[in-house]
Amino acid sequence: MELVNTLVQGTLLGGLFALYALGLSLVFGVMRIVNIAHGDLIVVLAYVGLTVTEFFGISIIVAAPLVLLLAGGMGWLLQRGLFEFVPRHDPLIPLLVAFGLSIILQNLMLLGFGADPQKLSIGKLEQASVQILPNLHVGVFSLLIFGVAVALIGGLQLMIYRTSFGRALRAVSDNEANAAMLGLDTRAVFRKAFVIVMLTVAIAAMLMAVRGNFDPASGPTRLLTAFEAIVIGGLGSMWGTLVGGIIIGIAQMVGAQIDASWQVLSGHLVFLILLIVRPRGLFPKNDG
Amino acid sequence: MTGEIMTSGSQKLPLAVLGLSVAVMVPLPFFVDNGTMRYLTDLFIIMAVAQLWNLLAGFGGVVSIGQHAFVGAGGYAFFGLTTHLGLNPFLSMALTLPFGALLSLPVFAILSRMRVAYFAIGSWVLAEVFMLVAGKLPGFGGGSGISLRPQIVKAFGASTSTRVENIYWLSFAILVLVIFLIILVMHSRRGYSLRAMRDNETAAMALGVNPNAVKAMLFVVSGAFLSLLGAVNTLQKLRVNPSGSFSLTDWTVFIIFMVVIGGMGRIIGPIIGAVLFVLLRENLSGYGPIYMIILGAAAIGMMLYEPGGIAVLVQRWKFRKAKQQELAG
Repeated sequence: MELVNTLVQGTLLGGLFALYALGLSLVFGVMRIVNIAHGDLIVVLAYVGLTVTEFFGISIIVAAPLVLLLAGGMGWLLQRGLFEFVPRHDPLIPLLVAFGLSIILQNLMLLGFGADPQKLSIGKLEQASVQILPNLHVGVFSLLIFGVAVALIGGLQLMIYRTSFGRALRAVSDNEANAAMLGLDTRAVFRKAFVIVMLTVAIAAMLMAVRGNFDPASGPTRLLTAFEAIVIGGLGSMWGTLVGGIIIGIAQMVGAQIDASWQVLSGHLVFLILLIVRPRGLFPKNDG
Repeated sequence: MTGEIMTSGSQKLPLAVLGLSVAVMVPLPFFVDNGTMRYLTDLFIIMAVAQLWNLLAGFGGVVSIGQHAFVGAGGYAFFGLTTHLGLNPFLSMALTLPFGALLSLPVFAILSRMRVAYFAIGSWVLAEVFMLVAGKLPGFGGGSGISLRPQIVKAFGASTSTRVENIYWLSFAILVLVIFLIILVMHSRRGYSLRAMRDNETAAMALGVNPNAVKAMLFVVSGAFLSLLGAVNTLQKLRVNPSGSFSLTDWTVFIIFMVVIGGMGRIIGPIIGAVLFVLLRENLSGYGPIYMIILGAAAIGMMLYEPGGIAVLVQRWKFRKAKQQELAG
């Protein structure tokens, strides 16, 4: 029973990791930018959530639409104000720009909010649990996170493969120059894409902030787990990313059984082993 | 990046400058106090780490965010060899060089399975693993670390002032060796294939350059020397501990900023960057987060305005001035 419990908890945790990863995966897929600052953007939006709830004295559930709106605005601004000016012919430059952004964001948060860990609360729902098997209780909030992850991946898949904007995204991702030649406004596509990325980041951020503590230095850990989920799943495959997240989640939960200090390490180790065994991930796409 | 920011000209000038700086720096301990020497030792170590990061990124096009892994591993190796195996301290220090080289081989083998852009985050994951494992090694003091035994430290000089002098010469020698090696490599056949690769990997492959072999060579050279520098740093700090020995901020974040601001792909770049960094640190480190924000913004600005850094800006300014004089004359 202990084992089943660990597996279930790990799987649900994997949903959160997949949520961290979706935006990172999209930015790379569409813009070919490895956004080192991705984890820090998640934490920034957690602080945005905290600020909004404290300022208006409302629950994050009520404040969520406002946080999403702010996140979308930030996404547009980041693309319009920064990434649009970054030459992408050499992957080095966007990588290092994102790296600089990451350090700036971490230190801005440190200035604004201090180093103390913070958390968002939504009251009773956090502790509520349901019995799914005899002797097996699962947190309602963990189930909710997993459900959101599945729904969001499904929604993004629909958007990418069934809408005209999705078609534009795929065209730009395949070959930017060709897409522009065919009359696509690639700049507009990139801006919209970054808005969508930041919406997924905001969703991940709010769920993360309710689930546990965060502080200005939490970003890199989020980035690394997101990255591991993507690589395990295979670049470009969103359902693969969910599977990757679940594998890391289970690895961490098994590690935590041994000793709390093994939690993060065992996640990394499983990632490295899988990278050696399956370098192209579990569900590789031909075009990567 | 285009070939424009690669080193150019013959190897005679850099070698002459190197020789001159040796003539100035080597006798310096006879004229300055311990504090100045410590300060310069710090600068030499930082500069050498920056040169090695530049060797990978600026010359090889390989961005690593995990170079602190090797600095930390070198420190822990030095501690283990001296304290647990009881080896001679000088021998132990020398052994950190092959240790780092051997360690970089499997690391590169794993990382090179990832596409270029993901190499960076992959190297970061590996560095995390190194740090977490170091905190679990028996006999290394766990998460809080452990001090070097006094007799090991004293082997490098019985009194504080002789030790400070010796470590000064040691770190300067390593820096000179690193720069000398980089000049040699860049002017060897390998170096030219490297430039070809950096400019256009596919074209270089067509001409018979194996990019992975060249990158592996750079990675091993940098891993070996970073490990040695980690040992010297341990001698400076007198202890190893996971968060200090494997400091992401000291050995990767600051280093990247230095090279990016100073000028990637040129030997002079990390030198300019490291000197500026040490001077700025003196005056701005009290501001903590604001200092980091300024560095980050400067690095972004430089990447967008001139990826060749201050080195190229200065060169361009000189060129313009020379041209104006030509016109005036």
